Amino acid sequence: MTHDQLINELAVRLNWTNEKVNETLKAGVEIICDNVSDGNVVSIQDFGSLELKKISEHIYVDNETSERYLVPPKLDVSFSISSTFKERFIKIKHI
Amino acid sequence: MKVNAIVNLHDISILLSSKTNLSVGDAALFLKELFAVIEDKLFEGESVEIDSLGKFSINHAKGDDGKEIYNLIFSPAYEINELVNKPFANFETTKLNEGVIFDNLDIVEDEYTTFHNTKLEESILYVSETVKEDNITESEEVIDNETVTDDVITSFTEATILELEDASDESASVPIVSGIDAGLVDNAEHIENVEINSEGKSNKPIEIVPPDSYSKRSTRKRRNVLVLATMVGVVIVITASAFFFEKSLFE
Repeated sequence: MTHDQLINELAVRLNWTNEKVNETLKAGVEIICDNVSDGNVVSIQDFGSLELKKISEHIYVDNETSERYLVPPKLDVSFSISSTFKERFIKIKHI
Repeated sequence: MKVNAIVNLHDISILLSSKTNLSVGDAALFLKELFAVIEDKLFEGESVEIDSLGKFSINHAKGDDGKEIYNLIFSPAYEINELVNKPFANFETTKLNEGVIFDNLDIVEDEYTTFHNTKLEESILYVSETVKEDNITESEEVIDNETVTDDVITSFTEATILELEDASDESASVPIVSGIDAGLVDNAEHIENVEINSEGKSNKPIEIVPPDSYSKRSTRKRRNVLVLATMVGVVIVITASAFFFEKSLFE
């Protein structure tokens, strides 16, 4: 589902205009992104949580050339699934 | 806002309402519907992409051991990656000259596998537990249903086992035990106590020891022992005959 399809689906479900949904979604995503980048854990009940995980500085060795590289630290946006979501997935998929 | 705080949907609703003209109730309803749509689409097997945030998708794969694995993958969008990595924007990967040593840093040989696998492990939704057991049961059933003939029984002599192992080493087909995979043929040495009935056939199921307990090293060792024993035997026979031949000459 693309971003536009998501907006259409939300507009139908909420009985809102596409413009209203688009603006609200944009604002909502900005809030989530700002909170995640501030180091907060954005917890969505029954779905999961978004948080930052740090990949520490490390040395990467190229196996072919044996050259070594110093790789700087990096922050990765990580998503953790909630246990409720896992349970619902198993129930719905009948697995 | 406090750093490393947990922000829930209610907090986001309040922030969203202050940023837009929506009431807190409408903002909460919007967020609830947003994640309901994402969840519904994921359960239907579709991926959901949100601009500037990322893409949610469910990945279904089969592991090496036959287990089915479902992962919920979140791929962050370029914009959010750039935003969170702003503090490190000026750092670049640098080639290290010989002799430059950093004691405290981890050495990674395969960056993709190292970090990607960690992420995959964290995103596991469901792993089937029965597939591996089913495989074992299936293999055992095949053995149980096999009627072992004289040919098969005689084939399980030490020498033939070695031949079978050699054949399986060379990926050649094993004609005697059809329907049994090479892993089980490798374990032929563990087949014990096969009883033969009046028709010259055996109905007793063959005991199979799990493949893990089998080692090719032990086969080579045993082969060496056999060769050594044969050589020692030949030497003893030659020595004995030489001794008796010499004794008969003197007499």
